[in-house]
Amino acid sequence: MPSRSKRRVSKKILEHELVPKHEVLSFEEAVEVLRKLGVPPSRLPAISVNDPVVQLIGAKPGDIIKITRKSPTAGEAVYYRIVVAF
Amino acid sequence: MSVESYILSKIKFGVLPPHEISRMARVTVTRAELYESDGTPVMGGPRDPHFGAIEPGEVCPVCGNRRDACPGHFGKIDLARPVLLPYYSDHVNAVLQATCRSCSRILLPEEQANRMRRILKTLKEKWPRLAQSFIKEVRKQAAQNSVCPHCGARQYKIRYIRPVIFYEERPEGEVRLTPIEIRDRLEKVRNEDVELLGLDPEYSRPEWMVATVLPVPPLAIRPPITLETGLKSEDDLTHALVEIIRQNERLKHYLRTSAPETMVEDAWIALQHMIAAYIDNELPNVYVLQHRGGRPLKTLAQRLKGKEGRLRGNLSGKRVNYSARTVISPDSEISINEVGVPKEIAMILTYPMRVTLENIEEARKLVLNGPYKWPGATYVIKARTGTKIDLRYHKNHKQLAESLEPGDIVERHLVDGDIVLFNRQPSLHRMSILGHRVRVMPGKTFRLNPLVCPPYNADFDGDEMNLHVPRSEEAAAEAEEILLVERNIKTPRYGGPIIGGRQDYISGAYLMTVKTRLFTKEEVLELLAKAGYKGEIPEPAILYPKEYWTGKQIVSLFLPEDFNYEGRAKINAGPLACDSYDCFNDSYIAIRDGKLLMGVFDKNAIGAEQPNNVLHIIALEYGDDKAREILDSIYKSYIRMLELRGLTLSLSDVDIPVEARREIDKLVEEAKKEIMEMIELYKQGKLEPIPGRTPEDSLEIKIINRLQELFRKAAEVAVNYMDPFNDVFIMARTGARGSETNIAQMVAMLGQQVVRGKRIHRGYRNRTLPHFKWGDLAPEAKGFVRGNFRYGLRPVEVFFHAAAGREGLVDTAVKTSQSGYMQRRLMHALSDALVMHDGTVRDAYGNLIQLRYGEDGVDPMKTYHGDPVDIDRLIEKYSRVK
Amino acid sequence: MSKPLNIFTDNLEEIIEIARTILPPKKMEEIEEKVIKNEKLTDKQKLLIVRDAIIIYTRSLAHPGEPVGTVAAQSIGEPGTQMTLRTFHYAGVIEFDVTLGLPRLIEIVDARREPSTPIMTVYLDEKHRYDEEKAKEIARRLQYTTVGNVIDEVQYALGSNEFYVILDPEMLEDRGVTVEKVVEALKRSKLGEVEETDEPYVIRLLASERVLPPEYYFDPMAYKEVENKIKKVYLKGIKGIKRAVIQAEEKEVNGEKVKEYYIVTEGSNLAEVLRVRGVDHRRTTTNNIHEIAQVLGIEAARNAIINEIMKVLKDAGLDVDIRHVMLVADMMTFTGKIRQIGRLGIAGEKESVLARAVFEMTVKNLYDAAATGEIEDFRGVSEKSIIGQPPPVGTGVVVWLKTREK
Repeated sequence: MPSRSKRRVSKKILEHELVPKHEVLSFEEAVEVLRKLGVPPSRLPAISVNDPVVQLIGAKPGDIIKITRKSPTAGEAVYYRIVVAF
Repeated sequence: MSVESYILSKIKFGVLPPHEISRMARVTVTRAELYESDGTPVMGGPRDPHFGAIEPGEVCPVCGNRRDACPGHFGKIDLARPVLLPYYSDHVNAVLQATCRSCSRILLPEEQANRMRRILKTLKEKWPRLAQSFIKEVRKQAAQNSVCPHCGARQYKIRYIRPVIFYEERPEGEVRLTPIEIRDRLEKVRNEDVELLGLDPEYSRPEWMVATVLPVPPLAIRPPITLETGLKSEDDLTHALVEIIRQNERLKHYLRTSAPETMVEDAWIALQHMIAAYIDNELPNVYVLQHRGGRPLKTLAQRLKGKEGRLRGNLSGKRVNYSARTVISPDSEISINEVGVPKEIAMILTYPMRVTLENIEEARKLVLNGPYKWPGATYVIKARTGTKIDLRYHKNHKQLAESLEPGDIVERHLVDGDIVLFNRQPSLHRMSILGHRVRVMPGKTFRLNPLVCPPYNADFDGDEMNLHVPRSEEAAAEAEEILLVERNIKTPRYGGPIIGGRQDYISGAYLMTVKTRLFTKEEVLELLAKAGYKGEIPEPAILYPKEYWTGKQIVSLFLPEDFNYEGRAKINAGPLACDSYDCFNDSYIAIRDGKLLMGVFDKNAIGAEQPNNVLHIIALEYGDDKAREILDSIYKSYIRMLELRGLTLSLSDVDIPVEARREIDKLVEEAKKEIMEMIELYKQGKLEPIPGRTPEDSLEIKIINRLQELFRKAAEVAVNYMDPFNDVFIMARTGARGSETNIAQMVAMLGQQVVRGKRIHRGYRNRTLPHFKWGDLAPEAKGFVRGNFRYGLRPVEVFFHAAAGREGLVDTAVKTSQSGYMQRRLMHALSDALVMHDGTVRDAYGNLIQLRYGEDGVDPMKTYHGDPVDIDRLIEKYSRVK
Repeated sequence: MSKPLNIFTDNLEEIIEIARTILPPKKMEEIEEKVIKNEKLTDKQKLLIVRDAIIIYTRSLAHPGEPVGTVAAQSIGEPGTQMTLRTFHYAGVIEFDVTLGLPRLIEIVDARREPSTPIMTVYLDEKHRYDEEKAKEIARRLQYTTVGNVIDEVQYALGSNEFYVILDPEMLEDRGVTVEKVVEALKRSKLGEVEETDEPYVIRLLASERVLPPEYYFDPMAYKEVENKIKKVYLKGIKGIKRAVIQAEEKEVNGEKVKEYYIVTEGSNLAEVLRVRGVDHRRTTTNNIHEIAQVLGIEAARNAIINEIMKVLKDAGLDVDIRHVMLVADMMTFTGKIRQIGRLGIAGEKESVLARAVFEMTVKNLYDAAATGEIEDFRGVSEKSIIGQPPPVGTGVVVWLKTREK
């Protein structure tokens, strides 16, 4: 069987119930987030550039991604991850 | 002698360079012998006195101190030839692979190397985590170049065999790289390249990883022990060193006498191996240093490694004083936050009481009582002089008591009310160590209120527990505020109570609150007295012909006045099920304004580990102290209730009428018939298989399911015939102990015995036991037990039952070790995570793990089974407010 | 921060506004539903309820310094002793065994590449989910089928290049394959000339010289090899899906009770299954967490870890708050990759030398620290307890900024 797994990531995965909403923050927003949390970027949770969702939303290393999770406890929760090159 | 103390703030790790080893060495060891014939240590041997004073009275020739102050001094062995060291060789390998064999520069074009240096520098500053992976990448890329970009030299593949052997695959063949050659190459590596390869040029130059001098540790690290016979027995390290010295001298001798190259080579390799074994005696491909008896020596790595090693055994965990251990036994009369301490133990464990103007008289009395009379004291530490006076040997206690003044410290015996920590292993969660108040008692066991068994997972079949005394005001205060039993009624694992009734408490509460039970005045008084109730007795529920009270009235006396509760009792199941006030079975609990209006108290009201039960809601809404008060009062009368009524069983309790037995017989026959039909079908190859399963498997699955169905039905029949006030049945229904399955096993049948999810099949060839024919697939041939505990099992059935029973035991043994290791790993992975002041969760290094703990910031301990606010209860509460 | 919040206000609107800023959205929704829209309650009652909700919620927050990591580790580890060690049947699916209990839990925290029993739950889209036949059709499309799955045997005689592939009609039916399809597949495989024989369900294959050179005509091993090659010829399905079984679930849709059909598969291949038409790409999942990370990303993997752990604990009848599991999952996915809980993952990547050395591989960690010139600055709990200083958690987070002057 020909290997088809290298095919382009499908937009469909964004609709999967396990995948929360990912948004790339603008530079200003990113700075504000870091300032509010008082952390250097390296202490933020990371996400790989090769992550399928990152590729779909077209984020670059260094970008901060805002993730809006569905939460079983709070209903909705925000999380941030910084895109890293590996 | 004065000791300076500092707070340790940092440790820099590095490789000890040869010149440093030589500089700190006080002896150069050249002789392998330990003692001269007259018994004095050999100078220049591994027992040279310059290694430091260790004998009593001995004066150190280096520092002039005696053994209590002499820190010990290092020596050295000048190695005849350099030697590679294990573990470091991994890094030596990395450097060799990544540098040129002739010019020793990194195998990367200058431009690229510079770029990587810049990247590494910023990574180290900003992304320490990524710097590690980057270094790996650098090492990999450099190793790929087969031609040196600097001098153009061709590179050969280097093969590294752990721990210390290197080969180079030259065109002429594979050549072993000697430590000399390796060291030469490493020496030439430039500092900036060293840094790029992940080493620290200042503290760990690669050539230092090839030893030319070996440090010899001071005697304090390897003390000889004198046996009773007067013979000296040397430490394993000394033995290992002796071997190394002997080999080193041999090699030196060969070199001096220009022995044949092969001999030199062999001796060199042997030295190499010995030094490797001296560092770690469990390395693969290395010679193991042994004792004369053949026992492998414990060398440096063995001292550090493993559970009993230095790190885990002595640094992370330490042995402590001021602790005690003995058997525990129950005492339901003491408070849940108390622990009964035997007087003997109370006279050994002490608390350093600081004398103040307020307690000076008390302190004097304690000193007067002395160490052998409780409550007394064992030591006095005078503030003025700092001397410690041992009361066992002090003549005049009276004078000493007089001389006490504020500021002195009296090491006094434990007395009632002292806070201590109580612990039972395995300490699987934080409730395995709780704070208790001491209650000194006669006897030799620790006394524990049985209500506190669940957090410790303790019982009284011989369990032992440990007790620790906090030794400062701060520690005692923390124990009191955080660790005290009532502060831990709720567990953080799930929002629910972990302390609460079990077993007798539950059956007692049920029997007390069940609506068929009425109490006479005497009985009411008896129960209330047990609970320590002070106050009015309510109006009796029945006035004529005699005054009677209900159990619900008694229980209500202890509930908070504005307490409301609604919920199902444990017995609310099967024929007694109902889900609202409209309940004739007394199985729906309704409490209004602190009065138990309907429903019985059982596991779902007063039990441990039942989230959102009455006890839990009280603990949440009225505080830990209110919950403790209830546990300390009414719970005692639950037990008293059992003493009034009696709870026992006789053979008739596990018997059912003949009709019932016939009914079960019929069920069994039916099932057997069906199964025999299935087997017949299977033999004819007509059995409908389960998709994806072989016919054999399908048959097995079907038979097992059918037999389990049979058991369920039999259990149902048995339970239906039981008297609801049968004591065994009460225990099962209320959740006190046992289940309907257990009852069915006693009165109906044990049912199919299962090993590894299958019917019992192993044993003889094609049959389980010689009692059966080959290939017999019938239920009774493969572990179906028709018998029950009441009428007994047949011998074959006993065998099957034992087989299944053994599986349970093996299972437990295996899984304790597995889950123990899993928990250790979880602990190490998560131990640093904590909630910060801004509500985020970070680890000790500042990594941001969660923006809000659990996404809503709520501590599960303070929840209604996970829910921080019970809106329905609030609506209930305020809907009556105008 | 604008004006200070006054929860003792008498204004219902105001207190609701305050609640909105403080309470988590889920609680707020519940209040909206049960309190604000409740016509039986007076405004005053609503006010009191909302105010109390704010107070109770605020009190239930975890205190600063709370060692939530330790508590999570204990809360998940402690019930481990009460778990079974056995492999059980998956709820309702008797067709295959599934690893559950402690071994499965260990597998998850170990972040194994492949679960010991990979399982997918494939949901179907609107068109297919209520029809058993359609569901079966998709199940057949998923199931990896080769010639070997649908034949009775392959017959051959030494000395000849004739192979007779004898098909099993029942299996053909079961797998939804026709004889023509097999012929087509065999032709495509280029093993030799293929033709149907007069007898039904028998196909003749003349092995080409490339496949069976004449010099091997008397070598039984060569024949066996050809037979295996024939058996391996791909017919349909997705690689990795060994078996697919239809399951049904009672559900209520628009007040009507219907059976929803879904497929449980043995073996897993999320990327390919999601591409199959008729499969609900929103709900279909696998128990292989690495696969989820690869196909759906790290956030999905984090959710999958939570779901899987909670499922294992629930199946074992153990009660563990989801917040503990969330912390474990967030820790495991912190770096954007799934890290194991153990020496090759979180515990092995700690910044502190001593913390790593205390855990495992003591000597190696110390030597590596020396070689790379690491600095130990005693920040974590393990390190502090080694040097006998208070740990930086709990009451230990409170430190003196100024000491009394001497």
